[in-house]
Amino acid sequence: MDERATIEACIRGETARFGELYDAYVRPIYDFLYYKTHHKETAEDLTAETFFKALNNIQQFDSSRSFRSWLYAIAHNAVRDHYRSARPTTDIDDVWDLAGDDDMVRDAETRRALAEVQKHLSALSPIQRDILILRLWQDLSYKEIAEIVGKSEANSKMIFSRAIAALRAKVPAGVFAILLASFHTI
Amino acid sequence: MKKNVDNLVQELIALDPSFAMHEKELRMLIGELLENKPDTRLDEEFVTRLRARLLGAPVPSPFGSFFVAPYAVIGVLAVLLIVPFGFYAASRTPDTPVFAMTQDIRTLQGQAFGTLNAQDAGKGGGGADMATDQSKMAASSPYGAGDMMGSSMMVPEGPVTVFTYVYKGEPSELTETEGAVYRRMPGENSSGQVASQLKKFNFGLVNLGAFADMRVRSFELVEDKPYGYSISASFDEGIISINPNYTQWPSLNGKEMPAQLPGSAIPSDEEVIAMASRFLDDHNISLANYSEPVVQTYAPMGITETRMQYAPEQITVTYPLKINGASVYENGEQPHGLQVSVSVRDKRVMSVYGLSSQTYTSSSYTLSTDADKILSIANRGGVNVWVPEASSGIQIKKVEAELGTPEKILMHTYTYTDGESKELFVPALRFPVTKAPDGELYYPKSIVIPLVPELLTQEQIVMPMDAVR
Repeated sequence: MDERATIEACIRGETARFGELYDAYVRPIYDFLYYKTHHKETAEDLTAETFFKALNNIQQFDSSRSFRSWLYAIAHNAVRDHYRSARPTTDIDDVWDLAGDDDMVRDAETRRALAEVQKHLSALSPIQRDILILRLWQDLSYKEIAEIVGKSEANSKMIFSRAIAALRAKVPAGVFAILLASFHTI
Repeated sequence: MKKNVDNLVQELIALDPSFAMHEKELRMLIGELLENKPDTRLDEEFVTRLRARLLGAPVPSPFGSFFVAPYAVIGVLAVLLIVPFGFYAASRTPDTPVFAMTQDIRTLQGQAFGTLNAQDAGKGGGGADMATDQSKMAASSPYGAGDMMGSSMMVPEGPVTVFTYVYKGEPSELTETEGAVYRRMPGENSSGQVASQLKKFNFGLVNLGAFADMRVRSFELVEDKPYGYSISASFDEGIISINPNYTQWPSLNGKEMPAQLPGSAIPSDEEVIAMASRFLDDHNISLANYSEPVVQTYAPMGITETRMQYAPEQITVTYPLKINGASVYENGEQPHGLQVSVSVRDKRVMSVYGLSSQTYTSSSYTLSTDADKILSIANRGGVNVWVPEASSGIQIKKVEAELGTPEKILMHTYTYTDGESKELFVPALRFPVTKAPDGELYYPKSIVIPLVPELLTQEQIVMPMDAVR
C-alpha cells in the first residue's frame, strides 16, 4: 500500500480506500488498546471508536505527520476518555491505574497473568507506561513514540530509560534471584 | 526473544551507561516484561465486522436507533437497562442499529438455498413445520374443499364445496426464465456487542467479564405501568415483538371477566389504522419497507362488521412487507408483513408482530414459463388443494369464481433441511378473485401460485376418509 496516496484519496472523499488503512493498523491499535484496558470487549469498542473517529476526521489530518502516530493518539485519548467517563471523580488514564482488586471489568486470565507485573507498572507514571508499552510490546521506534506521546525523540528515550531504572529499583533483589533461577530460556 | 532482549539491553546501556553495572538484572527485567506481554486474543470476526461497518456506514450515528425506540416505550426496568446501554453506546461506540431497518440485500450464486420444497418432517424446526401445516390448511380448507386440517379431523358432514376458478384476465405469457428468491437473515451478529455491554455491569454474584465469546440470544423488557408493554427481542431470529404486560392490563389480568362487546363497539377501519399508525410513529417503528395498511376482516362477505352480534376483542392491521419493491403474500391470500393488533375494548394497540431485521440474501432460481400449467393450478385454487375423488363417496357442491389478471409478488414460505430452517420469499403470481361465487359467504380474495417449478408439485395430502379408516 502506498500509504500517502491512500490517505490523500481518503481526504479527497474516496473513503472506500480507508479499508486499506484499516487493514494495516487494526491489529496494532487493538493490541495497544487491550494493553491499556485488559478487557476484550472494551478494547473492541475503543478500536471501533478510534477508526470511526479517524474516518470522520480524515479531512483534518495533516498529511505531513505520521498517520500511525495520529491513529495511536486517537486511541490513546479514547482510553483516557473511557476511564474518565466511567470514574469521573478519580484520575485514571488506563487500567494500570486501577488496583488489582478494583471492580472495573477485565479479563480474568489477563488479570491473573499480569498480577505481578501490575504491581510494578502501576507505580510508573502514565507517560512512562505508555512509552514502555509502545517500545517493548509494540516495537515502535522512538520517532513514532515521540509523535504519539507528544514528546521529543530524545525526551522519549530518556523517559524510557528512567522507567526501566525505576522498575529495576522497585523490584526486590530477591525477586530477581528467583527469576534468575527459573529464567533459563532467555 | 533473546535477540530482542539483547537489543533492548544494549539500547538501554547506550542511553544510560550506568545500566552496564546491572546488565544481568536488566536482562531479567526486560525478559520478564516481554514474557508478560498480554495475549490480546484479537477476534478475526470482530475485525471483519468492524471493517464492514466502517465501509458500509456513510455517517455513523452516535446512537444505534435500536436504543431510541424502546427507550420511549419502556418503563422502570427499561430505564435500568437501556439507559446504561445508551450511555455506553453514546459515549463510546458510534454504532449501526442492532437490527437492520434499512433493507440490505446481498446477492449469492444461483440456487444457493438448495431445493425449495424441502421439509424434513419429524425433525423439529417449528417455523417450517408450521408453514407446512398452514400450506395444507390453506390448500385443503379455505373455502374450497371443507375444513379438513389434519389426519385427526373428522369427515365433513354434508356436501364439500369445491371451487373452480375461471381465468378472465388478460392473455398471460410468462417470459422470465429466472427470478430472485430471497432469504431473510437475522442480520449482523450484533448480539455479541449487546453482550459486551452487559459484561460491563457489576452483577455482584458473578463476574460476567470472566466469560469469553458471549452473545445475547434473546431478552425481554417490561414496562411497569398501567397498560404497559412487554418487549421481546430474539437475536437468533432477528425479530422484536411487543405484547401487553398482562399484569398491567385490567382487561387481561384475569381478575375479572368483562362482558362480551356488542358488534356496535367495532371501530371503523380508519380509526383502527389511525391507532396502529400512531403507535408505530410514537415508537419510531419505520414503515419504509411496508405498503398501505389493510385491516383484517372478520365478518362474512357482504355483512358489515357492526351488524355482527359481538365484537372481537382485537382487530389486526397488516402493513404488507415489500422486498426490493415487490409485495409479499403468505402462501394463502393474506399479505405478509408487520401486524399490529388493536384492542377493541381498550381502544389502544395491544401487540406488534413481524418486526423483523431487513437483511436478506438473494439467489437466482429458474422460473416456470408454462402459463397453461400455472392457469390450470389457479383453476383448481392453488397447488395443494384437495378435491375429493368421485369414488370417495363424499358429496360435492361445485361453485365457480372468476380470476383477474395476476400481479407478480413474492410468496412467503419456509424450507427445513439438515436441521436448519430458512425463511424464504419466492417469485409468485397473485390472481385476484374478481367475481365471487353466488351464495358463498366465505371465499378467498386471491389465489397465489409460486413460479419456481419445484413448488408446483402437489404434496401428498392426507384425505380425511383415509385418516379415519
